[in-house]
Formats: sequence, structure tokens, C-alpha cells
Amino acid sequence: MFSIVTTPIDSAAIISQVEDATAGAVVVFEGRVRNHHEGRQVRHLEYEAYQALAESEGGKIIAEALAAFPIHAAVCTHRTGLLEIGDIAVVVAVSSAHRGPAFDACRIIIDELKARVPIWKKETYADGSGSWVHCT
Amino acid sequence: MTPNILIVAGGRSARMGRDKATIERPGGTRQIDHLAALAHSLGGPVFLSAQVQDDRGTGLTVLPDPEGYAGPLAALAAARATGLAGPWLVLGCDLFLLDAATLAHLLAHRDPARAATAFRNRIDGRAEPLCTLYEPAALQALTPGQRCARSFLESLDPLALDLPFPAALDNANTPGELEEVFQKITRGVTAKAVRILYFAILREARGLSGETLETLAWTAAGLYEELCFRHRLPLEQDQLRIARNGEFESWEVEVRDGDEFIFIPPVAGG
Repeated sequence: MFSIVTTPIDSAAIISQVEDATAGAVVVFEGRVRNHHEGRQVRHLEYEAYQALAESEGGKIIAEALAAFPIHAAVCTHRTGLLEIGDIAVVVAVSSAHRGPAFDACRIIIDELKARVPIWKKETYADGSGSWVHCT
Repeated sequence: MTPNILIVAGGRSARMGRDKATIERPGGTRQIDHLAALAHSLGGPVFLSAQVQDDRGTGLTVLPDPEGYAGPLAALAAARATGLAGPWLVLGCDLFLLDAATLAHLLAHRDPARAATAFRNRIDGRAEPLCTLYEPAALQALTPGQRCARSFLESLDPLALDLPFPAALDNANTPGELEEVFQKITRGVTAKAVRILYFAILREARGLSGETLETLAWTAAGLYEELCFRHRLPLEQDQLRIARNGEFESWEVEVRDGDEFIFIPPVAGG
């Protein structure tokens, strides 16, 4: 399952969605807002999504991971709106019987999300200027 | 009044990836031959402006670009260098939708007291320099170092006419825009109402998150070209993806009445 939310992400709640008694591994990736990008001091980030297509494309990525790896469950949630340094922007949680497939699937899901899902990020720097990442 | 006629074969066509003059139109006629036939039907002498001495098999006399001039203004300088009297009708070779009626309209409305007679662009309203009658006074005003043909034309205070057929000067600089003009040739020109949603850098550039507007485009590429003319959007087609009605599509996808389009800037989730 893939979702876009506008409120803070509760990682524990995401993890609970993939847990089951046969899963010996749960791999979780948290993407967090860091205070620097390409040498510039970042004050905060603003994420924007085209929700309908983001959720359908994100859902495809989850389905592809479930088909490609022997995993039990995979969930991804991305937050939009204004995020401060340290906030969680995205969580990917994957469960499987053994750790290998869960690690691999988690990596693929976040990489594909970054490449394909219509979500945009505007950085605001310490001097107050801003720019849309990858748009210059 | 029979003008001298100059067809501007243009430069490298880097964005198209091939010589626009020799592209075959729907039906198989090469674009340059189509334009030459239109030009000959007006009765005056017809020349070809080109960077190199290559008539593309047309048999037309080639006027090479003079030193110190570039682009469409080099064509005007080459016309002046012939020393021929009378006005010059200058035609861009990428006018795939140009027709005899549009040319007849231009000639019928010529005002010889004005330095030039031109058409307004159907979207931004500025005078178009490459389907234009330049009087001798216009050619005399040309000086080396001028670069922008539109700015030069505007400096002449031309008579600017509304197009009798609005899409007649739609041109093509990319393969996507070529597909668009081919659709207009084969299917005709009809207006459709579409919804555009803007996100991220395009939302900021447009100052709106969405709008409904009328378009003559058949393809997403043609629609985006119209939007760029209206709003000076900051991204090129090769930086964008397209969604129509919530699904990813190609630049060639059809524009239908009532469709919703999103031009997707480079994504940066995670």
C-alpha cells in the first residue's frame, strides 16, 4: 500500500501494517529532512504531490516489489506540506521471512519512488531563497 | 503587386534532429517543395535562403547568408544584397500549415506605406517575422549585430493583421511539434476545452494551480507549446512527463474535449 499524507508520519503505525508471525525480518527506511543540500544550508522543505497519480504510481511500485521478491508485505507513506529539519518525509516498511529480500525490496521501493512518483520538493535555504530540486 | 519571395531554409534544426526543409508532409510532398509551389503560384521570383549553397533539389536560386548576419535576419540581408526592387515576402520553411488563402490575405492587406505587413501570433499577439512582407525601407533598416527577428520586425512598427485561419503559422521545431502540425494537416483545426493542472515550479510560474482553456492542439506536445507561448513556462518538453486524466502518457497523446492534462516537472520525492 502506498499513501500520501499531510500530517506527521508515525513509523510505528506503518511497521504494524507489515508485521506478522511468520516474518523474521522487518526492514524500515525513514527519509528525513536534513539541514544541507549540495553545500547549502537548508532551513526547511516543502513537498507537493499530484495525489491521484502519486498514489497509483506508488501502488504500482509496491505491487512490482511484491511480485519480484519473496516478501510478505510492503507499505510506503510519503508526507507533503512544510517539513522542518529532522521531520520524517517518507517511510518504507517491508517484512519477509528472512532479511535479504526485505532489504532488497525496501531499497528498490525507495529508489523507484524517487525516480517515478510525481512528488516535488522545494528547498528553502538559510538566506531565504528557494529552489525546486531537479528543476534547474 | 507581385513580391519577390524568399523561403528561409534555416539552420541546423538541432531540436528537430533533421533538416526541416526536406521533411515529407502527409501525402509525401517534401515541405520545401510544398512551399516552393505556394510561392510560385504568386507569380514573382522565388529564392531560397540557406547557410550553405544547397538548393535541396528545388532548382531555386540560393541566397547565402552575408557576413555579419545570422538566423532569419541573414535572409533579409541576403534579399537586400540582390538589389531587386519591390517588396519581399519572407517565408519560414517550417510553416507546415501555411496555405494560399493566408498568403492572399497578407498580400491583399499590404500597406506599402508601412515598412512591413505581418500577422499577429495567434496566442501572444506579437508580429510574426517569417510570413511577412518587407518593404524596401525595412531592408534598409537592417544593420549587422541585430539578432532577434521578432524584435527587428517590431522596431519597424509593422502593420499587424489577425490571421484569417488561426493555426496557419503554427510551426514545428521538435518531433512532437511536427506530429502536432501533421495532425492539423490531416484532421483539420478544431478547438477543444481542456483542464490544465499545474504543480511545483510550473504552478509558481503560472501563478495558478489549474485553469480551463481552449486549445487548437491535437497532441500534448502542441498543447504545451501553446502554454509556453501564453505563459513563458520555465521548463522544456524534454524535462517533463505528461499525464492525461490521471495516467502517464506520451507527448503524442491526443487532446480531446474535456481532457485534463498535467505537465509533470522533474520529480524529487523521498
